[in-house]
Amino acid sequence: MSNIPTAADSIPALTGSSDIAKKKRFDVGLVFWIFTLWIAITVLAAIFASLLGLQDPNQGNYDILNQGPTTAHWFGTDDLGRDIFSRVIYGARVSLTVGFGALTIGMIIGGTLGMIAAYRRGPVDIIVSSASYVMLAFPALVAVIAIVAFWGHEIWKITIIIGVASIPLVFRVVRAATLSYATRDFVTAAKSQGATDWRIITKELFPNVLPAIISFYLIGVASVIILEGALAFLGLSVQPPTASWGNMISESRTYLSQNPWLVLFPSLAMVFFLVALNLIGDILRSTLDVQESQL
Amino acid sequence: MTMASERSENFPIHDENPGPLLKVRDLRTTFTTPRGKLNAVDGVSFDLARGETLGIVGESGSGKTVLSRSIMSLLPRSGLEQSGSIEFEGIEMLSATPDVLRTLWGAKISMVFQDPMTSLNPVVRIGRQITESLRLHTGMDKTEANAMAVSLLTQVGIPSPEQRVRNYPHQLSGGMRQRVMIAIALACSPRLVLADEPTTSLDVTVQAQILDVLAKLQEERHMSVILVSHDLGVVATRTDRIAVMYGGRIVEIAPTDRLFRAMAMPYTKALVASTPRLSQPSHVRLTAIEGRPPDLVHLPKGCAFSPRCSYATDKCHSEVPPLTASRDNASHLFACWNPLPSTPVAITTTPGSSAS
Amino acid sequence: MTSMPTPLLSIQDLFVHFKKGREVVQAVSGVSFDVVQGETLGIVGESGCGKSTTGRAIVQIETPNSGAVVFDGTDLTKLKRSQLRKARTGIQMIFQDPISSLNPRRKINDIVAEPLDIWKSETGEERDSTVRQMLEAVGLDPEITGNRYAREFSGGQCQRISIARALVMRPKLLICDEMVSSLDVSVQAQILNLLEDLKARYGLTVIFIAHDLAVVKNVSDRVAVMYLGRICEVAPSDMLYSNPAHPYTEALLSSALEPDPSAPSARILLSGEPPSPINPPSGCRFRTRCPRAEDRCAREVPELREVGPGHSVACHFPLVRA
Repeated sequence: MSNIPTAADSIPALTGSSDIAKKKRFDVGLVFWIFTLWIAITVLAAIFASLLGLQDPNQGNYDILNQGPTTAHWFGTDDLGRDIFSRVIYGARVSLTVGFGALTIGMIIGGTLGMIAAYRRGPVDIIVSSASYVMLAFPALVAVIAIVAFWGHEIWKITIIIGVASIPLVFRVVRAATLSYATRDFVTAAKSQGATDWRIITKELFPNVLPAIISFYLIGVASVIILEGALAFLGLSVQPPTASWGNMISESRTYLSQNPWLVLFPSLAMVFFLVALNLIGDILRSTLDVQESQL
Repeated sequence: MTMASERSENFPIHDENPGPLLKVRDLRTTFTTPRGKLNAVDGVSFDLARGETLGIVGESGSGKTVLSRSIMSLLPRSGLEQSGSIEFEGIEMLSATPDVLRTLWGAKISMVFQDPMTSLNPVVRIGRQITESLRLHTGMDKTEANAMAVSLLTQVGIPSPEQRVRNYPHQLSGGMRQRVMIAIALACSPRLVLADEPTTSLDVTVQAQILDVLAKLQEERHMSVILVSHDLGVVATRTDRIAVMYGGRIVEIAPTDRLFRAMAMPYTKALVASTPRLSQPSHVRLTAIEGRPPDLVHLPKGCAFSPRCSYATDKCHSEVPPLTASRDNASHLFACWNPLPSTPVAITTTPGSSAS
Repeated sequence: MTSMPTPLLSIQDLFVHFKKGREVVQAVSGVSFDVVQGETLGIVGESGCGKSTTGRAIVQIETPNSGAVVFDGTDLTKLKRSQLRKARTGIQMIFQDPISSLNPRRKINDIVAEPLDIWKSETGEERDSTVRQMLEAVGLDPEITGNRYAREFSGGQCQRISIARALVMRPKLLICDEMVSSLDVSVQAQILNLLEDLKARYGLTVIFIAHDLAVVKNVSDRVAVMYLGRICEVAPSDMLYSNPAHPYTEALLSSALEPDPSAPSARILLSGEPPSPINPPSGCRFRTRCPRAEDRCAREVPELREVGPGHSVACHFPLVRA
């Protein structure tokens, strides 16, 4: 054992791996960026709607009822003479608040529980998992309808109710995603180095589960926007005159034959937004999965 | 003895054709990958005689697995390019239609895979997995095929085979599953069996059993076997000839005894030297090969082993050495510009052992 | 070796059983051994013999049902969670799968520095230079390696990184669980040589767990052979390999395949496979496959007893050589 080589059998640099290094760059294609841009525009427009110099979305004008698109009113006007363009943008506020808000609540609570349950296993997992099954067994839509009808239609109440309803679903997804990492040796290594459970969850597991969380978040937001639309159809979303994509479509039912613009534009806004969310979620997931599988 | 004669009735040995069973000529298999063209097999040629066992040894990325799948024509078609020739009993495998291949697979050529758990269908009883190909290729009826399945399980050393045919794969241990895989592969008495790392997932004591079963059946049935392994130990005692692969090419091929007695290619020698031996005392410093196996997308210029070879010269780094015969032994071929002098390397040889 | 004073690690009558569905897997059933400072103890055995579980139970990743794991004077099984966190940094593990061992989403620098960050034991600059030294010590260029992710490295390089991470806290005991079995032969030799170098350089004590007899012999001073959760035989490695006293050790040695066509072919072949640790045989657990088994083997559990200097065997009818 006298021969301790200095840089022993050191390996000649990293030949062959440099090309992989170049490949790792985030390569998602043009479609992804177009859809991301679309989502960004929609979100920004909704946030800064009041700064855009739009017409008042709730101000009717009886001179211009049920008009088609004009230069003054790009998307036309509705049965009360309100500007549809302005209402679509203000409506986005409601739909997006409910969508992103509810999923954020679901992610924070359900996601945290999911990671803890998958990492700790044992009784913690059994209790939380059973609770999630019980909640999932209950028809969510019925529950949401019942609670909204009972508690009220304010936007924050709807957001909380849908958010809570999404917890068990988020929990299952995050738990499953975490489970495949929680048994890997790097987690064991961290444990044996004395890392606390919290550190393992945040530093070792979370970055690995993040891709799954993001893609599920986007797809989840899309589903909640649809759910809001369904509630609006039942008259259980925010109350008129406040616009949301859902209740705009709902209100336009009766005018479908006279004024198709009324249903067309909010529907298009919703469809484009949902398609964009789903596609981005999907592309993100497959891209990040490929990176992972290159290991 | 009686069993053996019974068997030869069932499986007549037809050796009227004296030529080699398998002729591979300048086989090239490349895949298109996101990183570029992957040269998995890069100009491989060899013959396989009837009844011969050829060992193919190599590390990861040597192309040994792709070579064996190329011979079976089992590779996925997308992004695949192949050239050269694989002639099996006069049939050109590379241009054979799927219909022709289906009459060969299982019947004339079969394969034993590394992981019996994934290659057996988990929801089908093992009896049916054996009889399926029997009935397809030999036209046996159900009772005949069942009797044959029981007989095959007996031959591969599975106790109480009458009960075992009704088991599902998960009810068997790893070694038993690999025996079942061998029974399936041998069901139609193929002329060639490709065994790709057949014992890698098994324990040491079971590994020896499985290799013995394979060797016994091969001798009884006069089959040819290609035994692919990363482990020199597995091929050393069970083969007539050994081909050493590196970077998608055969770098040395010789009768087994000759190879171990007079290895010419520095890589072969380094591979043997870096393997720890039971016969060495503890704490012997191993002769490690520096660096790592080549990337098949970016093969080094010249000899693929040259970046890791301590004998490499300028010529090695620029020109690919051809596979040529040794001066004193026509059956010993190697691809090296600076072969090791053919002085016998320090290996204890028993006088009785001789090349087949 | 037996005359050495207090051992660094002492395992006493360790039992690890875990539930699998409704059944109980008796993974480790009464294992005792000592490891003295500076030695390498090899543990060999086939899959399911409990060698990995033993390794994990030492670090308390698997909780032992009973028994003691005395490391450096402290019984780790008696410690509270918070005490254990600190105590077990003196023992580090290297795992079999180089890919699963490294977090795919963290840079190599951060992976190696993680133990330092957990314990905040060094300032930023010290931390960086320690990491650089460790990477150099395992034969990697810190400039090229540090800012990359694990996926950009080969299996052998990943194992080097794992070793660097394990050694950064200067542990006294290193447990290597099949650390070279997923590597190519040529790379395996590099890592085994590296382990020997580092052992000398850092004065490490090593428990080397593997299924490959030749690999274990190469690195070990003493070797313990395990079968179905129990130790069959312990001996200095050269003695164990030349004069096995347990029939299982003998069979294991003779079924090993050597890269030598002239190796003796008169081998002792065991029939069958190891029984399941869910329902192990009574008495000696090897008796169902043992050529020497008699009635007594089914009734009495053979205790580990000394048959030579440092050579113990758990068998009623050991192979005693003249």
